[in-house]
Amino acid sequence: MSSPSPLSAGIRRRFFLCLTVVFGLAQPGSGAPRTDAQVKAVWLAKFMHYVQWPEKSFPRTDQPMIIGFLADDPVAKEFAGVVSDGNYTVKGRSLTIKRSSRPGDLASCQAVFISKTAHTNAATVLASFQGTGVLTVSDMDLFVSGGGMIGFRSEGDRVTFEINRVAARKEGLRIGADLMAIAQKPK
Amino acid sequence: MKPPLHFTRRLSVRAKLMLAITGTACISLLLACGLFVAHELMTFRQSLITRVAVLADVLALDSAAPLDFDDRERAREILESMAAAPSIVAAGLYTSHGELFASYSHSGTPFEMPMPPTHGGPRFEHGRLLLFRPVIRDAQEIGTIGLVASSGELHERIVSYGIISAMVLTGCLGFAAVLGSLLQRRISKPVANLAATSTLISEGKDYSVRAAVETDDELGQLAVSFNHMLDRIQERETTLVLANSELRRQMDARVQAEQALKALNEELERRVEKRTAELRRSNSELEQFAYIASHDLKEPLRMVVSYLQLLDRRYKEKLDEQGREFLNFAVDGGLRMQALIMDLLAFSRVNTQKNPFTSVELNPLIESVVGDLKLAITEAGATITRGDLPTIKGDAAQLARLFQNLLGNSIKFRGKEPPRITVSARRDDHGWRFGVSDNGIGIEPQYFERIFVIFQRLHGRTEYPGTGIGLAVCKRIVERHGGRIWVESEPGKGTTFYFTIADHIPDDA
Repeated sequence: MSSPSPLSAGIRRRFFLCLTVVFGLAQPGSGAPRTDAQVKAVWLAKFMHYVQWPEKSFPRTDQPMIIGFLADDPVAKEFAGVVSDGNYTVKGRSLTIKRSSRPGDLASCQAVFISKTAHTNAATVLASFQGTGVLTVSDMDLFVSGGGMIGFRSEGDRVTFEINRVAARKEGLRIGADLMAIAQKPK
Repeated sequence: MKPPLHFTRRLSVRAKLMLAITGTACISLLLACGLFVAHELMTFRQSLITRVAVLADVLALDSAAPLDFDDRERAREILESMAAAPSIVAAGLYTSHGELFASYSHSGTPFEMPMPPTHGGPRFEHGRLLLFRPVIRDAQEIGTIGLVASSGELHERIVSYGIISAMVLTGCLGFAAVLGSLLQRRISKPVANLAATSTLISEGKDYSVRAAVETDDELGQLAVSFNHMLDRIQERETTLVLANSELRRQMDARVQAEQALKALNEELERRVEKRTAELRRSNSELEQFAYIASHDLKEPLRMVVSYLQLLDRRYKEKLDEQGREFLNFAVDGGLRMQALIMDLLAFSRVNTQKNPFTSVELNPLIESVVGDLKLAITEAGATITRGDLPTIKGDAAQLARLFQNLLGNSIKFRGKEPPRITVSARRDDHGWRFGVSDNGIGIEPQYFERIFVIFQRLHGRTEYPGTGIGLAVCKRIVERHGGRIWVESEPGKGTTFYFTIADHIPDDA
């Protein structure tokens, strides 16, 4: 039975279709129109693929990648949805969420999302992550020019992001050139 | 024969050599060029695939981020980098759902990227190479990159290879032709010389001509062999001429001998004819003499016998016993002489007094013969049976005498039992065969021939009376009828006389 019959080929095609639908949910970037928060959550997860952490950030090889959230905002909620099924892995590591209102608690994370709904001072927060090798992401205005690494921007109904490569380099993080190519130039 | 052979048959060796040289060069060059071009094209195709695959892989690496972050503009920018690769006609980036995310097509050649992207190896379609590579980010397939490369370069290459091949072919052929004509001259010239020599010989029959030996190769050997052959032929020719003249001389001698023999034969035949005529004449004279003698003897003898009998009748009483005995002897001798003369006359009459041949019915003829012999038959108590006898051509009187003699013999030479005689006839190839068989005393085999000779008797006169002429007469009659007579017998058991009568009688019969 080396060549499948038309029937079994049809079944297989349907099976793959199901897979891509499931995968599609876990892999945003296409499909139905999404909310601002949804896009940010998905992209936040995807940033992880394009960033290289120093070795000290992962003491253990099987250690999951921890994403910290300073506030329980819509992006955090959507992000929980993205990683909830546990299938989403970055470089072989699963993603876990850590929430805390105190930045000091999140110093052991690999990345931190600072929501503009947290109403905190960007400079203070950023100062608390200095020297920790944590990737800082935020949708606050002027985040990147203030020393943050990746900052979301909403232009109409379109979401873009800026990158401060120097800030990342300072923390020992390397951001891929392909991501840089996508990113908006800081204003 | 096939047409190409007809074509090459007419060509001279020179032309054939040229044809062979240039033909071989042409075919090998074509083969080499063909193989080279095929190999080049295959290599080119493979290298095209490799190049396009590398490009696709590079594009796939760069395309991950635009796909991830939904940046179609960036994706298009990446695809448009293909403008630097002129062979790439079109490029397309597909999402993992198979939707076309971004596309690029070379200016001037609009191309619709196939939807959805196909998987599997690279393939050529309508002179274009289609190649798809997955876009992999972090071990996850998040899309597909598709490249369409024009194989126009391939066609250009084919054309340029064709031109180069044609040029190489023309150049090489020209070179081969020049070289071939130089080489073939060395081969064809001796061959042509040889051919000219052989023509000279076959037309002029002059075997003293010799071919020039110019080289030491096979052609030189051929010329040497040819000359040897000519030597032989010349020798043989000389021998043949000698043998011919000898033969002619012998023939002449034989013709002369034959002519002499013929003349001798004719002379002999003339002599035989002469001798035969003489013999025939003397034979007929002899027969005439015998006939006349016996005929003329008859009359005085009759007188002697008559008067002896008269003497016996009238003066028997006046003679004493011895006188009467002497008279009896005289009468008896006269009567015997009369019988002898009658038989002799009959014998000579077979040839001198012959009747023309007529149709003779043998059945009534036998009846009449039996009637003539009635006295002897009754006296001997003989039984004569006959089969159905045919009608034949012959002398009726002579045939009657023939049967009478044979039947008479059978009655005369009977044994102790009353004679039983059978006359039969059987058809042969050329006539009839008759048989007269009896149960008489029989004949010893040594006498089978003698009995047919005139005056031959096997028995004493007192035992069986007779003159010894009867069977000789029978033989003469049968021979006159174109047949032969013979006897089969066993002493004491019986005798059968056979004779044949031919359908066609000899002319002098």
